[in-house]
Amino acid sequence: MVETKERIRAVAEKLFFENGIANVRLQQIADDTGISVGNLAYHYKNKEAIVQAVYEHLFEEFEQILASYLQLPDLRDFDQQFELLYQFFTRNTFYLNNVWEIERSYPHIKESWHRFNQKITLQIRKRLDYNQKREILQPEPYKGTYDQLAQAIWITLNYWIPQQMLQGKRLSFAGYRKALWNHVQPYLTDKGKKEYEQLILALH
Amino acid sequence: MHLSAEIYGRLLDGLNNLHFQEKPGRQTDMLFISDEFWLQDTAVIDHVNLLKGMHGVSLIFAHHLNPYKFICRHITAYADARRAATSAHYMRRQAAKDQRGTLKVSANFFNLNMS
Repeated sequence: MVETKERIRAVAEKLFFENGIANVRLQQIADDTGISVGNLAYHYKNKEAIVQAVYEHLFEEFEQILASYLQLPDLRDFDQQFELLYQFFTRNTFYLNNVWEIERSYPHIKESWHRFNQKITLQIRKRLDYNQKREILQPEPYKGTYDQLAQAIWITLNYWIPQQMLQGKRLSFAGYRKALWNHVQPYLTDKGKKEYEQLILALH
Repeated sequence: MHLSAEIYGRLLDGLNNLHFQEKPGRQTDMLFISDEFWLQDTAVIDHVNLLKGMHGVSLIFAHHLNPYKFICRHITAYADARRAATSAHYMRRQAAKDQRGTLKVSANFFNLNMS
């Protein structure tokens, strides 16, 4: 029973990615899952319920990423989160194709997603503070620079993947990682550069 | 319930500070592992004694071969003797590795003065 429910969710995710939420019909989801529409209705009463389930699953995964804050006391912590988010976004590409649809038609999901966005940006910002305190990053050159930096990192985390897809370029974690560290590099102190070379560059 | 951005920010600040407040431990901090290694093979004996009008429950962890190696820990105290006895019984069962009590060591062997 649980298995069927999971299977429906997985198929729905795939179809949402390929066609966009608005263009997917229940019949299609049922066909691809290999069950009847009646059976599908037993598990999820309508499309909204499926969309809700798909996004709840997405948020659960995201919460786990949020919980990994500062598990390591050095730059590897940043790196670990980059990797988790890369996996998250590549696994959940349907999300990227449906951003506007969610914004328009699913206010609850939109609200939750905004909250998560806010939290992750805050985490990035606080990580910058933390590394500044450790003298790995330079003091903020101008007020608000690190707020902007956190924002820029989050934008790259989010949209590097769709940008590559749109340009027909290859997706790789190495490229993703490079683009992200590129934001941080100019602010590293000498001590920070050393740590970066030893812990981040040397490991890949 | 959702945390506001401000509270969440403070929470993260707290986590940041944690890394600065924590100091690396010393080698000697880990000595308890070797020092108290003998405790894993002890018999646990429950003991109820009357002290200042209360029935105190103590657990005695005794080496089953060396009668002079033991520690006594006061756990709690009850006004009622029966409750103290029941509590002592369950405390012992929880603490003892040898729950069926095949390691026979009696508190009386050691001639303890609990007061």
